[in-house]
Amino acid sequence: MAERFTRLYRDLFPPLYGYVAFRVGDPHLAEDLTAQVFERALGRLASVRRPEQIRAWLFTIARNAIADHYRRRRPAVDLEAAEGLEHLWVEPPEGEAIRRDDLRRLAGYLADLGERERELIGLKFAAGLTNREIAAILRLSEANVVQIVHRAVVKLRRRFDEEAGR
Amino acid sequence: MTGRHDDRRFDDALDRLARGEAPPDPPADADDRALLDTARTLAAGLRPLRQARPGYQAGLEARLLARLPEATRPWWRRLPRPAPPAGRRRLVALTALLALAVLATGTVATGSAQLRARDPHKGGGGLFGLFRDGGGANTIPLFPPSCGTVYRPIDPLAAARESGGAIAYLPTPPFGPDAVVEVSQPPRSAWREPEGIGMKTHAIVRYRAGDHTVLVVLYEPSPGAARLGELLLGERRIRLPDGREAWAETRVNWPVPATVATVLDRYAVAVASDLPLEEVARLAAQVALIPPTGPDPTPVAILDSRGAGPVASPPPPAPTWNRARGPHPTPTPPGAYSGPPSSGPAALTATGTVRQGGGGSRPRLSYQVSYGNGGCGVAEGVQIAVEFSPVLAGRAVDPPVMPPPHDGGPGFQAGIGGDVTFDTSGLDPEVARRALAEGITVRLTWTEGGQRRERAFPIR
Repeated sequence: MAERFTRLYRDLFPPLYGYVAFRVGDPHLAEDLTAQVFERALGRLASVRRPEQIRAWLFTIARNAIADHYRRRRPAVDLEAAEGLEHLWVEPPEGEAIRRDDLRRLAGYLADLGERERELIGLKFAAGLTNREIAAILRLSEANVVQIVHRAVVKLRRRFDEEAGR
Repeated sequence: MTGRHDDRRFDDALDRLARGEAPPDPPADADDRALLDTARTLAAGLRPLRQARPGYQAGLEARLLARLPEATRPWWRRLPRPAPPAGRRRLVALTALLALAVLATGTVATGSAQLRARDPHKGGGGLFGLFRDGGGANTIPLFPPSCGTVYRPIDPLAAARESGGAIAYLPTPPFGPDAVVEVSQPPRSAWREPEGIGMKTHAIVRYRAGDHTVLVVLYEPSPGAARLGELLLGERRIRLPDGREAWAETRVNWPVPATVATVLDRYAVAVASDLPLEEVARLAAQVALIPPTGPDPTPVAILDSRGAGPVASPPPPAPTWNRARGPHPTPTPPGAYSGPPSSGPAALTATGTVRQGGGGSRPRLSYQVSYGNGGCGVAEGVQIAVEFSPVLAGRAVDPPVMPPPHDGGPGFQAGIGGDVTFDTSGLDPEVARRALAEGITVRLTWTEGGQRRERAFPIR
């Protein structure tokens, strides 16, 4: 049981932590909420018979935990605001030809997206989930997921172009 | 950029980017190329979020494994026994609860070996190895005492003489002669099931002066827990000023965010404080241990399946401060305990990192700050401000934006972060370098009990 749990945990921790960190924007809070999610899932995580479903199940717990957190208390930092999202960004590794300015600007543009679009961007890029997995978590069709992600990327690109005066 | 592209190819490229792989051949359509550039930027910015700080993932894994049902089912539940008669179940349950209380707060077991501490950076199985080859880790609950912990204003040496229990303390108290020194000691008792998995707190010595606190907490795992594997004492390994190995952890929503743990014989000692981690490490190097004196009280056996057991002595009385209702069975001596048991002041703290970037006449400071209330009270109108060296005053190109005032109850936690670029043209480069090296000062102000309070936290 411990071996099974360890395998699942190591597979699931990075995407789950990435998603929670994206949603809450604070690494310490992300740690607490991620720990809560795994604690809630502890018993079933080790005994689940259909591992292909566990990812969606765990992310559903995470979404609920995040929602509970914000319901319980007024957020100290307005995460909807662009300046609140700035600290989400992590310096990309050396060698990635991405300008930091682009990252900073995108962080601001993310705040302009709708809640659902932002959630999908988080699940897709912060967690690295497939469209099928995202569809299972959000109870959407895969086609719908593709459409929303595409729409969000187009919006972000437009903001880039607007700022560049193109 | 409206939908002329090949949806399937585009979506496949997005998937690859999200997974950190290179997309296939660049699309022919210029709009699609621009969209993929945007997606690439998103992936590059968000993918690193999956990486927690060093040691955290492994630490959580060990803590969770320790709580797996088979791994940590309480020892009294692992004892094979038939269900007791219905009329006795309540008695057995009560006895089991008392056993748990003693396991959590009891005193010294003898004869256990030197503790082994686990390297938090080491990959591998955590507790998984515990059951496979004995090479895994056991977790130690080095959490700080709760808001309800009550202390006696007594010298640690006097407390040790009086109780005969083990105490870890600082022979040279921090904060000088004005420090308030207090001790909390759970009632003394022996392990009743030495092979059980348990951890107990022997004593907490608290030093206070002004807004600052230092706690010295003495823990001991049960002999069974100590034998089973290594203990995870903190999220990162450090060296004390005297060269000894120690383990550090920082948690902003604790009343004492910085903790440095060391191993002394069969004990673990945690020094926790709101002082900077380096200062806490210096104090941890000075800890002295007073071993227990006299024989341990005789263990109280748990009742067997027939509801009767070789009870040698009654269980120790529950500490009076744990009684939720009703009058105390014996009057508490006036002034014997300090502080109310379940309420107290707010203890706002901040911690974080700051690093330098940019260059030339446009240097930059990037900071991430977490702040929270580790105390028991409610802080109203909490305001946070980030300050820089006076040399840099008025030179910030993009001054930081702070969140609006808000309230913070016990355990609340929040964070801010950002980059500030300075225009240092006309400033002596050495002066500018020193000013940047000063880092930032986080200033927290709040209202509590009608009074405005303020604390500053330098972050280098």
